Amino acid sequence: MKLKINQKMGLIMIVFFLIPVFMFSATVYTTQRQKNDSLIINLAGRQRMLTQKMSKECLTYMHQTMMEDKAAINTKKVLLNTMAVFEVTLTALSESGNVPLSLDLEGEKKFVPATSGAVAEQLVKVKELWFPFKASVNRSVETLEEEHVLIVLRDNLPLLSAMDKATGLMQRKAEEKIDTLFYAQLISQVLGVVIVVIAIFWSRRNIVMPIRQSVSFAETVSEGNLEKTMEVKHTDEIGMLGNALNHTVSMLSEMIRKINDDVTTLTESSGEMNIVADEMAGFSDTTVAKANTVAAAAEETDSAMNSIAAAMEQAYTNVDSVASSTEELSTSIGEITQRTGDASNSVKNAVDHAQKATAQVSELGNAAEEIGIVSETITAISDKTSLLALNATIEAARAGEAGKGFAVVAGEIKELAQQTVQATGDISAKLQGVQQLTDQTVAMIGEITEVVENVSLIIFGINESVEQQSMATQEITQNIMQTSQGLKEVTQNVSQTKQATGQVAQEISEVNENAEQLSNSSAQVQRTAVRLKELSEHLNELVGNFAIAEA
Amino acid sequence: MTENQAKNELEKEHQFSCFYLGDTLYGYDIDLVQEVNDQLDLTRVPLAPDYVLGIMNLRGQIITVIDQQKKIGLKSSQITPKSRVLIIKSGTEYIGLLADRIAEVITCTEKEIAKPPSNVNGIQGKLFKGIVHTKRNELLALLDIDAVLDDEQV
Repeated sequence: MKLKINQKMGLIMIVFFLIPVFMFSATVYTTQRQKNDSLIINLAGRQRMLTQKMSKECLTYMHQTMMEDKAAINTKKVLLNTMAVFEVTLTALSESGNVPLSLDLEGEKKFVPATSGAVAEQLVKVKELWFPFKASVNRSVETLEEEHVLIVLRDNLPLLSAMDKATGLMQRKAEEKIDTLFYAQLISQVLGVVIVVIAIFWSRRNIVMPIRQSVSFAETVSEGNLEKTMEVKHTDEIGMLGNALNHTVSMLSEMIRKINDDVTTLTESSGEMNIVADEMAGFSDTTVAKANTVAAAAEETDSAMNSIAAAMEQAYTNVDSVASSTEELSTSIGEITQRTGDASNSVKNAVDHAQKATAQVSELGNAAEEIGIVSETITAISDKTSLLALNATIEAARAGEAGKGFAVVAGEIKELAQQTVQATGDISAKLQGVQQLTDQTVAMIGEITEVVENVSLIIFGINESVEQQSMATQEITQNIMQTSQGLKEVTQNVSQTKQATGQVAQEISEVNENAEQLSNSSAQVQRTAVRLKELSEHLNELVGNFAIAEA
Repeated sequence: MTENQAKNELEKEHQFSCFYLGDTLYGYDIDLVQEVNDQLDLTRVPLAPDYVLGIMNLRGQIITVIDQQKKIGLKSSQITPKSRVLIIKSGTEYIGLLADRIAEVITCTEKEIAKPPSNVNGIQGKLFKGIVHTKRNELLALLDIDAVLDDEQV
């Protein structure tokens, strides 16, 4: 429903206003219908009274006539007036018409509407009773016969009760109207309650809830949370308010993000500036320190120059002694070369001998193996011999007593064969020992050869070194001559240097002054940078109060 | 039989040609043995019983060689460098018996031969003529050649 808030509120007001209008209308309608009821009931009540008045006046007249009272004529007039009033009233009640408010026919009159339903039917019954009754009264008054009077006396009470019944019906009808009004009021009350409930829920859903949502969103924003956006469902002023809030938040978020970026940049820049200022301060300090050092060095240089000059003299004499020493060195190197050559030859001899020893030991190993083969052959022969001896024993046994001597010989042979087997076994074991030893010897000779070769390498190295030394010694001799010449030049240069150091000292004092000024400036820059950093941190803190959605 | 004769009987010497099957020492009466031989160049005989190892030619004579260990109901002998063949005369023919290792000729008297037990190392007692306790503290089982070869003739 696309309504503005004032339209929504107006709609609720109109619905509320309709309830009293309906109640008022019902009341007016009912009271309008009731307006004549009291008059009609009054008139009906008067009719009841009139029935009795007629009867009483009839009898009064009869009595006055019998007593010959002159008032009888007046009474008859009153009776006829009463009857006329009754009839006019009865007719008006059943068929509508004007009715005198008092008992005077000519007096003030009022219009009475026709009755309907059960009341009308009852009035017809009253009429049916009334017309005979009226005739009886008239006849009684005219004839004064007792017969008619008795009829009057008999019929006045039924007439009264019929009229009374009609009055009762009228009263009930009027009361029914009151009931209708009561029910109308009751229904409108119930309807009112229902409308109120609906209006409360409707307004809560369409007005209160969106406003509360906006309020809570605004509170979230006021706490600095700019991450969220609000869901807008309505197109009314609240919806517009939501959209405006969302727009504001997004604008604010964007602004803060930019500020944040700028602040970060600012922080970084101030940090860098600080570092640069620090470095500058450090540099200027270093410059001052170095300038001081240089100044001191210049002074030292000056004094050093003096000692250099003195040292030059000393150097001259030293160079001479070095020259003689190098000659001695040259001769000793020659001797070393010769000796190492001898050592090299000896090593070569040792290697040759070791190789020969290896070959011989290997031959020994081979011989041992051959002996092993021979001993195996011997074992085989012994086995055969043993077998032969056994067969000889068997043959001797077969020969019986004659073979006994032979059996002994065979036994001896067998014994011999067994001893041979045992001896060859011993030889085999010993040969194995020999073979192991030869293997070990070969390995050891190999190691010795290796060591000797290492020695050979070392000697070669020594030889090379000595040659290098020889060359170096020659170079030294040359260098010493050059040194001698250089020393002269140095002496000249020293005096020039002395002049230059004086100039350096002067310039250094200027550098020192400039460096101190630089130091002051950099300190100022540093202070500014620190203040800038503080400022940017403060700004960062302020911006940090806002939570913003990720860009 | 006089007492003297009986004593001579007990003192009578016997010689046995001995050999090993596995670790057990066995022996035959030396009169049964023709010779001991280390010739193991055998020719297999098709369709022969599984204890027949083959035939060999001994100086022109064809000899059947049998695995006597298997023949007396033990496991088969393996042929090694120590294996030897005992040539035995059984009736008119010669038979070679495979021995795992040959031992010496043992001489003992009649009284030293004990009666065989019913069972020696799982071999039926009927295969033995007796048991001798040798000087080297070994038990020598004396085999009955006829009993050993008995089944073969069946």
